[in-house]
Amino acid sequence: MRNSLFATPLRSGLLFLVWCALHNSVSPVVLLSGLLLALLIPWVSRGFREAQPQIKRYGLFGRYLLMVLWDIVVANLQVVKVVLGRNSALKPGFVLLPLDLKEPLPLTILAASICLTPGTVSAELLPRQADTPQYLLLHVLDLQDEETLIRELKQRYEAPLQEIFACSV
Amino acid sequence: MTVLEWLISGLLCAGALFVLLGSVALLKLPDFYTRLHGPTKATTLGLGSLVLASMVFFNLQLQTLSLQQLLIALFLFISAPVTAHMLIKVAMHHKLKHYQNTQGVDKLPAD
Amino acid sequence: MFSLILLGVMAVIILALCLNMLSLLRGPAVADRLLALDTMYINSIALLLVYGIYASSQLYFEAALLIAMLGFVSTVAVCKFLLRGDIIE
Repeated sequence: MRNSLFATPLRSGLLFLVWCALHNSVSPVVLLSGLLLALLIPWVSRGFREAQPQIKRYGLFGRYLLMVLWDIVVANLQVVKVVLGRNSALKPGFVLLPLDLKEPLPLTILAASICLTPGTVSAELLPRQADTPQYLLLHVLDLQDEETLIRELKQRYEAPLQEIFACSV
Repeated sequence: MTVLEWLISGLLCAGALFVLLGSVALLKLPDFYTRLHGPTKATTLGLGSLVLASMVFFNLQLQTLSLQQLLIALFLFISAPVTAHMLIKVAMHHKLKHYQNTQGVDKLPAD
Repeated sequence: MFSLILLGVMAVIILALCLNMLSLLRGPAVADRLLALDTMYINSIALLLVYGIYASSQLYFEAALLIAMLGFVSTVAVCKFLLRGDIIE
């Protein structure tokens, strides 16, 4: 199964869509060549990847993406407020976010959504060994209450990701 | 102007304002760590809004199939966090100065 | 009217590019300049998108796509260089 042409349907579908979008057309030539490439490229590069946890719940993943998009808009209104305010009223800060996730792919998605959303940028994964409890170092633009922020991030982003990838909690 | 043109104009104006806001943030905020927030958030959202306007214009107003803008938006939304992450790593590596109000500086790694 | 709005939007984006140029010149650290340069890449993509609408042509989007990819790759390469003093280890 792992070596067949149809082992990674999601990746093939994504490649096919990107190919059509790149050509801006749905003519038969583009569709056929796209189909061929979408099946061949994941097959050729199957040995390059490490095994990642699979997405178990697609519906929840879609909802998560929509939620992140909405949060980006909200976060930007907050950034507007901070940027137009006075510099001396600014209270930036560093925060350590304790992590329950371990696998690289969910961690990457978590770091990216934290980066794009609520006034925070993920800076570093600490400590670097994977077998000890890990923390994500964040820089917060306007730090009001550390406890609330950590609780909110864990509940809003980490918990759905754990459910999507069906990781052990 | 038709309704569609008003919609496109609204999206374009919002996008341009957010792009401008990102640049103002870059110029105004006090230290590197806070400046990083402007371009990663405001500019990305502004570009997303411009892409939406352009999609509406080509697909609904001109009735031509146009999907390349979607690729631009997709790529930027994936690459913006990665760039921000790399840049803040560089800043910590070079031990850039913090703004005086910064809290929790002791949480930075020793190296 | 619509093309006037488009011109206004382009003017705002060019203003943003000029502000980026200022912060690029000001620095003070290399990382600040790199951040300003990266923002200029993204703003030029925005300018191309709006100009594409103004000219009613899809030709410019391929250029925008190229700028997006090259900008990302070059920023990450320079970051890597600043972190390790070497691009490919």
